[in-house]
Order: sequence, then structure tokens, then C-alpha cells
Amino acid sequence: MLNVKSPVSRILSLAIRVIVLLLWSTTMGFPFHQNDQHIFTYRTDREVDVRIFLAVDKDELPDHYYCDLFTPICLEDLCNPIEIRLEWDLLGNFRNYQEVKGKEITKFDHEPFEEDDHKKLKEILSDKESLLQDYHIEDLVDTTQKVYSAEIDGLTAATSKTFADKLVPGAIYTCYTLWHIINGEIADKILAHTQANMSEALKRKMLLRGSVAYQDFVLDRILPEERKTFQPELFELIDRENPFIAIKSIRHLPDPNKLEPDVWKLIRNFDKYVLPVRSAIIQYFTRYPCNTSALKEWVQVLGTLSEQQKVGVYGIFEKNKSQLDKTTIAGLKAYLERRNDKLDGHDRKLMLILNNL
Amino acid sequence: MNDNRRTFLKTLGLSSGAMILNPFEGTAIPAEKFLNQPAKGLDIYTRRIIQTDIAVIGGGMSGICAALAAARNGAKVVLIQNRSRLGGNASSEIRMHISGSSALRQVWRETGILEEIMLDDAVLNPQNAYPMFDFVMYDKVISEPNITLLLDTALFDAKANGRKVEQIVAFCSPTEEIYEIKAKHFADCTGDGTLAALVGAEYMRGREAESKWNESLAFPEADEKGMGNSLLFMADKFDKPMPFKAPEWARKFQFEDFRHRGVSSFEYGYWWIELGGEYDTISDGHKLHRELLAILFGVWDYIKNSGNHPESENWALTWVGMIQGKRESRRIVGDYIMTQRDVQIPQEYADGVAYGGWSLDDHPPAGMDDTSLKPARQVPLKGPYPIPLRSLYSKDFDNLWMAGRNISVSHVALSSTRVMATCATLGQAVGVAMQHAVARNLTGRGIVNSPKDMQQVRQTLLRQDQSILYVVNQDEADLARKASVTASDQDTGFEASNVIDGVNRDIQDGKSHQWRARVEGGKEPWIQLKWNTPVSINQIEFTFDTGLHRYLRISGQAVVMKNQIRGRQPETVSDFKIEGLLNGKVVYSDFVMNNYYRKYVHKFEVTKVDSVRITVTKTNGDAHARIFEIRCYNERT
Repeated sequence: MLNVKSPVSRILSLAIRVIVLLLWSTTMGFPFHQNDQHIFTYRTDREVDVRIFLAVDKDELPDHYYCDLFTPICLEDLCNPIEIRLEWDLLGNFRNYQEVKGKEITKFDHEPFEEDDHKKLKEILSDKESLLQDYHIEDLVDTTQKVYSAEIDGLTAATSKTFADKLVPGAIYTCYTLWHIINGEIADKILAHTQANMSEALKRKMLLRGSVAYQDFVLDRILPEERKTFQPELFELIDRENPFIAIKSIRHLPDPNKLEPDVWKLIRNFDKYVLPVRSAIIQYFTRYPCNTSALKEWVQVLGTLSEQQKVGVYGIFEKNKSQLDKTTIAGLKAYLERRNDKLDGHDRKLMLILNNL
Repeated sequence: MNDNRRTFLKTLGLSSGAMILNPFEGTAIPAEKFLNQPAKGLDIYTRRIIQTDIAVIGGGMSGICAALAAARNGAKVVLIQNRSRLGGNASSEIRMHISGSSALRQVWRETGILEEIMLDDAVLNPQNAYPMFDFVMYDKVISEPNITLLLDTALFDAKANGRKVEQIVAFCSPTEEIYEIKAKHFADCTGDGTLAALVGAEYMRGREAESKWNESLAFPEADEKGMGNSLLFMADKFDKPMPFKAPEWARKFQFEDFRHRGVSSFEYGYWWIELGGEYDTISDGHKLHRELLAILFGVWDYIKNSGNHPESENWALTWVGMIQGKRESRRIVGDYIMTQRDVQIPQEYADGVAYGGWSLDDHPPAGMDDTSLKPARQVPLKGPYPIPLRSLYSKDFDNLWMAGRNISVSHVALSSTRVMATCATLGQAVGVAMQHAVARNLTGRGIVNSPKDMQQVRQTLLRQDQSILYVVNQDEADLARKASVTASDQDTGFEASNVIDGVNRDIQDGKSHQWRARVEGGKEPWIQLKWNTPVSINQIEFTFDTGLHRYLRISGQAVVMKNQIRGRQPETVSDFKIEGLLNGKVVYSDFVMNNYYRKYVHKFEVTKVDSVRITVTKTNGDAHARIFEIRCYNERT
């Protein structure tokens, strides 16, 4: 019996594990990287043991999870078993699948999957709210058809389009089996594993190199005391195209006075952002006291503002009027004079404030 | 004085058979009422006693169809509605569109009385004005001589004795009248199941636990939550900027609140302006209404004033709902409680009387109180599913029926059955069943337990254009079934014999169930029914094609109206000649013009014929004459 504490036994044990894994993965025809870690094993309702691995990137940071699956698909084992690598992202969402060369997924009667079928299947597997969650397999397939016809894994002609659009025709068993493996308990365990192993480096990676789901996930977990730490990532996300992520990032920014001069680019690039992001930027500067430098930046972009945005920015000037220096006041007055006969009530009110300073 | 008396009797529907047991109360206003000392307290209200066959409580889509179906089959009906207009959630007061099985994107638009109303609305109200839709419904009801319609009349009390509901008491505020309505059968079409609650019938509220009926869509624990109420608005685009100032009490929203709630069109409010699933949707109604208005104006304030929607500059609110549409409240327990599986997997009930086809569409109770959640999850259905009569009467009473959202279903099943097109067909089913019960002194359970009566109810419904899954025409009285059918022309797959194959619509079984022949270029195709021995008939009934694969419902939402055909549906036969022949001689003929209905009934004096020939001369636009079904009867008058 090996003593698990001895270095030799540890090496031997590791070697055996690697050999077993290599043999196993060779059988399955998938690459296996030494650094990948076995996280847990899950037994499916078909009594198949599924070994879940965590793949890491070159920086040793978690990248995704996967398993190499070999399982029967149909009821009564009528179809060929499926051999496939399934991948999850770090949150337990479906990421992708890889087929084994020569053992590609087929529909019933061994018709090959077309490109559109793969696209549809991936869409279905990614949909955590798929109807597959709430139907029994025997209620999905048309069992009234002959067992050995191509219809065993199909829907009747009378199936509604809204329903049929959510399945790959002729591959309902495949959709069903894979969806339940991907979106069942394994997904929950993966998420729990990631949550338990979050690090600052992983958060940075997920924010900048990940999906919107990753960004949402991390942004929802940034503590107030971490805001300064993630400042570069927050600025980067504000510049990206998803307005929801951009705005969530703005809401996380600490006091602008602590972020100078980087924060000024939000004002300098103001007209490059989409409207909701511009509104959020104005709200951000309204929420905190603004110093003279920030107010000067706002004066520079006054000409690019819509009427509604202008009202918001005037509010910032009014709220921080004690910070307006002579140059800024002169700049503002010059701007108002250029508006000339187009002066509205908000302009006049600001003029009054400036004159009283 | 006489004029007054006549007017009053008409109002009460005495001419339609409802009986006022206290005739002195029913005469014109006695002079002493004004001259003498006025009464005090409750005595100031006039008390009216009405006896009738059937009382329908609630004038939404279910109540309207229940009243019409019962009355058309001969029952005397009193229909009370607590609002001044009919239609409930579909009326101009709430303006929710009538959703149903068209959501399957197949062929399953509901037929029957609802289809008749929808076709009328499409033709009579091509301007899509909601107040005019109200009058389409009003016209249907008021034109039916067997119905006494009491608007602005609210149920507030009921009396039962053992398993029998004996009477309801209702109040009409504008006329200061109290009605005591005694009926043989009562239909609770209140939506809230108020009548059932008043008489102590068992009902359900909240959400049942997953384990109760093994429903995957239910939650692990039962709770008292449900789907909320919605408040709608309408807006128009003007040719100049239309500023908007929100009231102080409007809620404030920002961009993130709309991550799962699109505001890409402005003309018609948003169903997701929803709240109340965590409240009591009945007793918290005032608070909910106030909050929903605060949300509605808050959403519009965001659209107009956030700066994020400059395209809304010329848009302005033109109508704001003052009553919220309810999705869920009480569900009355019948002899059968439908659950998730009944909706997902069609069951062939012997007492199936209607069908549903809306997805399982549950909404999170928080509604607009938690905008981080998606406002709904829709689980699509494979196809339509039958609804049994056992879910449409109370298990506790022999004469208490229900149609609408308050039927006997689980919370999960309700998420599908609750939509108004389904509710309307439930109304028709209950109307026919109640009349059958009145005529034969039966109960709902009695009908279900008698195969012969159940068959009669289902055949009557089918004849009156209610579609029932798995049921075909087996009406012994239909003489057309014994005829042989030929035609001048017929397209392949659309043979003449289809008009007597028992199926009057496309049921997606690969067969057309329709005779079809080209009617273009001067062609006037005919179809003929011939009997070996002459028959006496006085009624020929037609079922035409109205394009049931399309959506046909008034809506304020542009995208919902987009693919509809407002006006006559092109597939429908418009003009046709009807000839009855005996030994080759025409013994009866008539010419029908401007038809746009799916079900058309032609009545005439009893005539002995050995064949009937129908010649189609014009459709409402289609190149083909299309007829699903022809029935011939000798109706006793």
C-alpha cells in the first residue's frame, strides 16, 4: 500500500492519474492538458460517470470547464451513443462542444448534422430557459410513429412552429440529453466552484476578456472598497459597446476627484458615447462634488449637448458654483453670449448665477 | 305614464322573458315618490326582483359569450356588468388585446361567438377605434332578445341553500336600484370568482407547490403570490414637439430598468407595466391602481425626459387606462383541476368543450418592483389542448358555473388558460351547457356523467362553430350527412365531399376538410348535395373560410395589427345562390350577398327537395370559393 505522504508515492499517484487520464482522453480522441484539474465527477441518470475538469490558461487562471461524454441518447438505446466534449464557461453556462472526428453527432437514421443544426443545437444548449426543462422526453418525441422510421426522434407535422423552432428536428433525444447534462446539477456545481475560487486576477480576466455574463457577474460582486482597484477595468468597460455594462461600470466609479485626470476622458469623449451612457455620466458627476478642473472640462463640451443634457450639466455648475474660477466663468459667459437670441430659461438662470458670483 | 312604463319594462328586459316578481316596483315612477316625504336610508333605493333561467355575472369576453350562447339556445338570460361597457380586459377601458391560440402560429384562431364578434369588428370598425369595439360587443348583446343587460350593476351579495345558489343581489349606483336576481343557473364570469366566494364555494389562490401536482413550473413551496395587474396607455405622434411633465408622484426609472423591457415603440403601452403579484390583486386594488399609475407615468417620463429617446419628442399620451387588467385572483375548484400536464400534453377528455393554445406564460409576482427580473417566461406548446367541462362548474354547487380566468386550474395551468380568446370559448361552452341543464333539469356534473347529454352539448357547440378537439359532426339531425355531394369544379385535395366530412376547419391532419374551386374569370362554381329520397328542410348552415391561420384581434399595438386584414377576410364567400330542387325543378331559391361570417345560417319555409345547389358568384377577394361545411336541417319552429 502506498503511503500518500511519501514523495515517491505522490509522484507515482500523480503519474498513474496522468496515465489514466491520458489513456481515457486518447480513447475519447480529445486533447488533455496536464494542468487541467479534475473538479468533480457527476453520475447521470443513465448511470454514466461524467468527470468534470477545469481548463486553465497560460497564466494558470481558470478558463473553462469541460467533460468528455460517452452516453446513450435514445430511449431503449435505439440510437448510436454520443461521444462528445462538452464545455462550460466559468459560470456554468454552455460554452461549446467538440465532436470526435469520425463520430460526429447525427440525427436519427444517421443523417449528418448540417451547419444550421449545429447552430440551432448550440442556441438550445445556451438557453437556460429552454422548454426542454419543462417537458418529459416521452412527451417531446412522436412515439406514434414506427420505431425504426426517421420519425422516432421527430415531431409530428402538426407541431406548432413556436415549439418546433426550439428544437433540432430529428435530434430531439440529443437536444434533450445534452441540455439536461449541461444545464442540470453540473452547472450549479461549476458556478459554486468558480465562486469559491475567485481571485483578483480572475476578476480582472473575467471583466476584460469575458462575455457580458462574466462582466455582469463580476460587476455585481465588486465591493465599494474594491472600486479603486478595478478602476482601469471600469474605464475600459465604459468604452465598450454594451451600454448596460458601461452604465453598471459608471455606477461603480468612486468619487471623480480621486480618479483625476483619467476621469476627465468621460467628459472629453462625451459625444462618442451612446445616449444612455451620456445620461449616466451626467448623473455620476451630479452625484459627487466637482472641482474646478472637472468644471472646466464640462465647459469645453457644452456645444455638443442636447437640451436635456445641457440642463443636467447646468445643474452640475450650479451645485459646484463655488469651484468656478474666473477662466471658467468667462468661458461659460462666452458660451451663453454665443447663444444670443436662443437663450432659454435655463441659460438665463445660469447667467444670473454667474453674475452673482 | 304608459310611455314611461314601456321604457322601464324594456330596460329590465321584461319583454325578453325576465320576470319582475314585484310588478308595482316595475311600474313608472309613482307621483307620490316625489310628492311625499322622501324615504330614508336603504329605502331610497328601488328594489327590483327578477326571475330568469340563467344569470351571468360579469360582462367580459367570457360573460358575453356565455350569455349569448345560452340565450341563442333559448334560455332567458340576465347579464350583469359592473362597468358601463362590455368587454372587461378587452374593452376600451383596459384595451388588452384578445390573445389565444393564434400564438401557436398555426391554424388555431378561435371560432364560434368570438370569431363572429371579431369578424364584425374587423368589418364594422376598420378604423380600429376601441370605443367602437365596445359597441360591436354591445350591439351583439343588446340585439339578442333573450338577454336582459344590466350595465353599471355590481354583484354584492348572494344566497345559497344547500348545493343550490338561489339568488344574487346587485346594485346599480346611477339608477339607485337594487336587483334581486333569482335564476336556475348562475355563471361566475367575474374573473375574481366573487360569486363563488360569496356562496362559500371552494376556491384556490396563490401558487401551489411543485409537489402538489408534480408541476415543474411551480415553485418548491406554496405561497400567496401570483401574476400582477397591468395598466396600459396609448400615445400618438404629432407634427410638433410634445413636452411632458410627469406628476410629482410618478416613479423614477433609469436605463437599467429596461434591460428586460423594451420601449422601442410608443403607440401602445406595455403589458409589463405590471404590479400586484405580491399584493392581494382584489382587496389591494386601490393601492395597486395608484402605484400602477405612478409606474406608467414614470415609464413615460423616462421615455420623454431621460434624454435616451429623442425619437419620442413628437409623441404624447392620448389615453391612459384607469382600470388595471387583472391576470389572476381566485380560481374556483371544479370536479377537475387542470394542471401543467393537461396544458402541455393534450388529453382527450370525453367532456372537452373548448381548447387553449397560449403558452405557459407565468409572470414573476414582483413585476415592476424588480426590473432585474425578466417580466415573463413563456414555455411554448406543441399544439392546442382541450379544456374539460368539469373545470367549468363548482364542485360544491349544482348550479354554479364559471368561465374566464376563475376556472378550475392550477396556478401553472392558469398561466395559459387565462388569455381572453380562451376565456371567450369557455364562456360559449358554459352558455350552451347551462341552457342544456335548464332545459333538462340537469347539473354540470349530471351532464358530464351522462354520455348522451355530453354528446348533445358537444354537438350543439360544434354546430354553433365552437371548435372542440377530436370532435366531429355526428349530428343525427343534420340531413346533409346523408347526401351525396358533387361539384362543378374541385381542386385536388379540396373535394366536394369534404363539406360533409364532419370537420369544419383545418385541424392540421394533412387534410383540407374544405371544398375549393376557382371562382375567377366569370367562373361560378357550384356544389350540390343530393338525396336518394326527398327531404324536407328549412335551414341550411354554412361554414366558410376566414383565414384562421392569421391573427384577427383589435389592438393598439402596431406590430400586432401589422399582418392582420381589417375588413372582410378575403377567403370568405361573399355572394352565393341557394337553390332547392325536386325532380330537377327549382322549388326554392335565394341569393345571399355581402357575407363575411364564418358561420352563416340560412332559414326559409320548410321545403321538400331532393337536392340543394350552392353557386358561388363572389368571394371577398380570394380566387377560390371555399366551403368547409354545409349542414341541412328541418328545424321545428
